[in-house]
Amino acid sequence: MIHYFIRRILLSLLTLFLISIATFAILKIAPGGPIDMLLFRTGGALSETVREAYVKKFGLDKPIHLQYLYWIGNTLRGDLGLRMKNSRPITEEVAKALPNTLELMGVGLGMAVLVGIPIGIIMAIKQYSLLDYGLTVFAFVGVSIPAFFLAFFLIYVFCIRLSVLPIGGTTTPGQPWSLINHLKHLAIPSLSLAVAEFAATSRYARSSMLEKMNAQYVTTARSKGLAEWRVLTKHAFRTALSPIVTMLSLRLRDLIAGTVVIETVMSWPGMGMLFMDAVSSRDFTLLMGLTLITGAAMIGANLLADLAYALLDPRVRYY
Amino acid sequence: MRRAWRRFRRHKLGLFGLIVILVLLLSSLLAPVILPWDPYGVDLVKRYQAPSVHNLLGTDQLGRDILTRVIYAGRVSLMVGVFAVALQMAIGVILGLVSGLGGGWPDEIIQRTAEVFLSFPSLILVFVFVAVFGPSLMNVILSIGLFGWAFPCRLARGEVLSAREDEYVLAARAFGASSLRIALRHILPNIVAPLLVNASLLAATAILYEASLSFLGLGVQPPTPTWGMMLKVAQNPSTLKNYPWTWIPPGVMVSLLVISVNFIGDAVRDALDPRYSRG
Repeated sequence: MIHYFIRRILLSLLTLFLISIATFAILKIAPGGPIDMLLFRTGGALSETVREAYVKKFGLDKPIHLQYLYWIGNTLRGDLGLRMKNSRPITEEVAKALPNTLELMGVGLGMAVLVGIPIGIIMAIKQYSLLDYGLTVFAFVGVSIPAFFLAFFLIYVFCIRLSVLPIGGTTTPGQPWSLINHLKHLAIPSLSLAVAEFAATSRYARSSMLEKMNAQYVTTARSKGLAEWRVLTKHAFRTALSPIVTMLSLRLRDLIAGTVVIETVMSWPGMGMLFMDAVSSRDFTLLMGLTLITGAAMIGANLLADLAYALLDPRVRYY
Repeated sequence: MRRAWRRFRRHKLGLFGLIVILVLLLSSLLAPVILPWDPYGVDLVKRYQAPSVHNLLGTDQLGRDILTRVIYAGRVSLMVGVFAVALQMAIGVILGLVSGLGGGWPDEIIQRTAEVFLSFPSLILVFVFVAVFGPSLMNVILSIGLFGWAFPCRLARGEVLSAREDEYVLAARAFGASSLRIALRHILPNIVAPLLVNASLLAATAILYEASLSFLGLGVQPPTPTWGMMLKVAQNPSTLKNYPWTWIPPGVMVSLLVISVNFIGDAVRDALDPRYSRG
């Protein structure tokens, strides 16, 4: 089993390395480079001294591979460099934005696990019933609605017509921070993301559970005279769990993508908004840092999922 | 094939999805003929008109008829759904075949690359691509297609790996058939089924991505209407509150199209998969 983990970890590091190279390469090659951005912002009047100072500051005159090595070296020491837009340290901006995004994603994943899986199991147990049918339609709808449309709809109902929840931002400015207030602000953005999550999870849990429920070893357990309840939880559910765990790590991708749009819509100051800011201001250093962090997070999540998978399904460990 | 169609028909939701898509397809093809309104005609006198006999869904902030714009926007979404997915599948399946049948170091290289692509939410890569190369329909389709090949590739490879041990393949090899021939004539037709199911999922995702891109201004540019762009007006709280007919129809249409695609995919899966014992 240790062998499996070590192999997975080494492969993850390799992938991370490849990601860093790819990120760096693409942003260096892309048209509209940093100097062009500077030209644009100063309206074309760029004196030689300013240009040179800029080039020196961001190390653009050094050979490409050295630039890459500097970037990686600094990153490993926790310094992601400076933003091009306002020369603020990237690490600081990310540290401010990350907890907000983690809040949104946490609620999304939490609901997926706590709501989606039980719903899926109920759907599987009561297959073909009206409940199953209704929940299936609901799950489909949940997956298909774009998160920002759902957000607008919720805003329309709860903020404008009913005046219950606030529209944007993390807290109401001018008032001391309170948990209730924060949760009120958190409600709509996180719910918009969470719906798609638990809808998808419930469908997957349903099909996974169905598959296992009708499997041979479950029939054996039933014929042994075990109580239905025990059969379902101890035998069917445990094996149904592992594909679900793998799927959750896939959902993480969509969650991250979703946060970008939702945060922009709801003025939620997280990584998504930071990313949009970087894209619109062609802030290459920030883009590089964010892409690297996202890639690292995804790889970390995949690794955790693989570990969990190995723990849940003993057959995997000798791969 | 006929059996599969019969099984498909029994899936009511799939039929619903199919009907919706056909209606949408027909209306977007026939739109210039049957709709008298001009989707681009700006008429500042008639701004923000509520739905009425003249304009069935009302008018938007520039006086353009919303129903017409919604249907014209459907064309964009359908095109993205079809072409972006076609590109993804083409790249993915070809690479998956090479990877699965070839083995050895091409397999390793392709798989490592696929893993790099899979580690990213492709929406982020699409954003960066469009931000760098400029927003346009072509770029949207290209970027979704170019960055989304990893998923079908992995799928195709898995199918190929299990199909290549089947007896008909071994028989073909015994006859001396080349790998290319085996891939095209024997393996490909048999792995089409699960790939098709996933194509529907990819189409749904592509349509949602296009909507997100247009919503953020990074997709198709005005004046061409697209549902995401029409949703953009909802960001203004006064429009959100006072003129709901401007943003509810496009949102509903996107959801409807994606639901239909998902229903069809589910129905196809049930029709082709013998594992689910549905009586």
